[in-house]
Amino acid sequence: MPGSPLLNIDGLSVCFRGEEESREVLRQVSFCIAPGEIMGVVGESGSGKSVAALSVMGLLGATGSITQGSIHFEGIGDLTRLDPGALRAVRGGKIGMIFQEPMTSLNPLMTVGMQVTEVLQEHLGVARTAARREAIDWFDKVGIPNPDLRYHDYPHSLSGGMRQRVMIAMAMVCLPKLLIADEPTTALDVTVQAQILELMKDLRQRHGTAILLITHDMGVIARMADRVAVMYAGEVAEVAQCRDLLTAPAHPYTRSLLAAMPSVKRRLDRLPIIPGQMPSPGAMPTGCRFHPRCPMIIEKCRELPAPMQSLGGGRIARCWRAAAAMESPS
Amino acid sequence: MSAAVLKVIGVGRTFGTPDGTLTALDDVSFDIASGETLGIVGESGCGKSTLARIVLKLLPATRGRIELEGRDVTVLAERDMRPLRRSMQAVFQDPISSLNPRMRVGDIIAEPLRAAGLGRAERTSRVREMLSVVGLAPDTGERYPHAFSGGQRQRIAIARALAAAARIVVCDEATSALDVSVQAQVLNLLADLRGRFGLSLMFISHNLGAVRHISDRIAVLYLGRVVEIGHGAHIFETPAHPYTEALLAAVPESIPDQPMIPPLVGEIPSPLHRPSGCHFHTRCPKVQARCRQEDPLLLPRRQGQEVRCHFPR
Repeated sequence: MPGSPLLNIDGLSVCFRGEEESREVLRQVSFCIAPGEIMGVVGESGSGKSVAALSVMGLLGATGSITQGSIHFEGIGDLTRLDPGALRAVRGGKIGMIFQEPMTSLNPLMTVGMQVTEVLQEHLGVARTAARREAIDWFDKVGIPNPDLRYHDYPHSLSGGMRQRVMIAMAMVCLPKLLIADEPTTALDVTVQAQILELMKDLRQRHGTAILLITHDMGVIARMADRVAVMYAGEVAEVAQCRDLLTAPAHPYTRSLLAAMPSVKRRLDRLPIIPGQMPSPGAMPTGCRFHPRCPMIIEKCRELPAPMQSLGGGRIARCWRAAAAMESPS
Repeated sequence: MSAAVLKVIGVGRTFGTPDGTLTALDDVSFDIASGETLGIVGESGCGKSTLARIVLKLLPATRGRIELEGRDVTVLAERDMRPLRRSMQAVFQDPISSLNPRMRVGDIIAEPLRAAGLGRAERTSRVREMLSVVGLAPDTGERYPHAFSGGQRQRIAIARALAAAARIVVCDEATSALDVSVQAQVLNLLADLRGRFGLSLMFISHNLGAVRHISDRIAVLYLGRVVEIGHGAHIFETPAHPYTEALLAAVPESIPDQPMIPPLVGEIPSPLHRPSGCHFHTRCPKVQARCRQEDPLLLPRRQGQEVRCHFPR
């Protein structure tokens, strides 16, 4: 990747403390994001993709902790070493966030306009009247019709799509360098999802905001991402340019995941399946974590964890058979 | 194809609300033949879940009727409905809420068998058979629902439907909460069982890829009405209604360099205030003056496809 990264996650491991034991939910996760880049992180439930995002934001809660690795943010340094106050200033300042269900992040007792105005006052010290004007301006920019009227609405009176637009406005007012979007369109109807994805692309174009897009949907990845990290069972399985990943996946898991998604464009008699299910943190298999479900397994996969293999062109994959996978027809 | 297992005839449903009358369903009609799968698609507020509840007789219709294997179930008392209930089963999005958490999985599956008067030994052997049909170990019957993953719970719900010797299974977002890899397993299972037992499915989902994969015919709903219905391949390859076209264009596919089609503007209007004329005219890219005033009828188009549009493609 040319230039220095905006965000560099390096060898990140995260543990959650349970009642009896502590469980590792992320292991040696590394990837970076260039300024203005849309980096997709894709995986199924239990892959660790949301934990990776929460780690960047320092929102692991009382039971989660980073046990190894660093998260370097351009101009700030290692986020894992910041004290909570400094991290709070980064969050909502240089890093904006949006989540799947905006209702849980919006204050139900406050008008949506006031909530955006408050962010401008607190983070940027904008005076009240100016902040108000700017909030209405942002509502307009994110495609909320009649922004001066909607300013006075409470979150519950807006549709899911409009609430997500409010969240995006709130995340964007400080012109963050990085927007972390965790399943931002998963709760939305498909036509509204298309609108929100377009809006995010448009904001990236206009403001140069990099986006860390976390999703379970390979379709969303295909439409949005420049580069992609695929996660499986708490590890990064593969990192590639989006186009390369879709046309020649290097990890058998990526390949299986792409094949298992039913398409609206063509119908197959049977969907290729991935047998079994993702292992849970307490019961990780030996060797490669994907080996019990892998169609390309060889003997050493059962015993030896696969190292990250470099495949050229910025591609890496944690698989003994990555080169063979890339060459086999999809 | 053989005779209709399910006939939905002119079904309407309104709800009185403090803000006026909400029309959830309006003159919906279709048949599902034996062994056939009808997919029902549409966005939130289109009435697809209300339709599922009415078909399952969990909610009365305000107009129209439902016929199950030739019998009008809308007029049946609950007592007379009971034997028919077995032939119509449901699989919902979140199986944990429809599986009794205090009952062993084996007992959940055996319930319809007991109601049918089967003895204990026969029930036990049928339960083991059904568990293996849906791909679960026969001894899992001893455990409770919470011990299973989402995909396994859907298999349990499907096993229960099979044990009841259902003719038709209503799947309401049955795979929507599942991960892609598990969804593929459940979709394949449903397709297998349909062939093996001649099951009919009413497959309701907002996931258009899943609907295309499983369905023979598809109905597209918008604001409580069928706007297009026909064979799956026709609906997906040559949609005649601008809404169907826009819906399909909005689905992100996992292929690179997709042409970016401008998304449909606005959101689905409130079923409390459905627009005049064609209900879709406020968002339609092809709207003309006539669409604002005149309500289109659902009319035959080609190859059994029907469409509710003044200017179909």
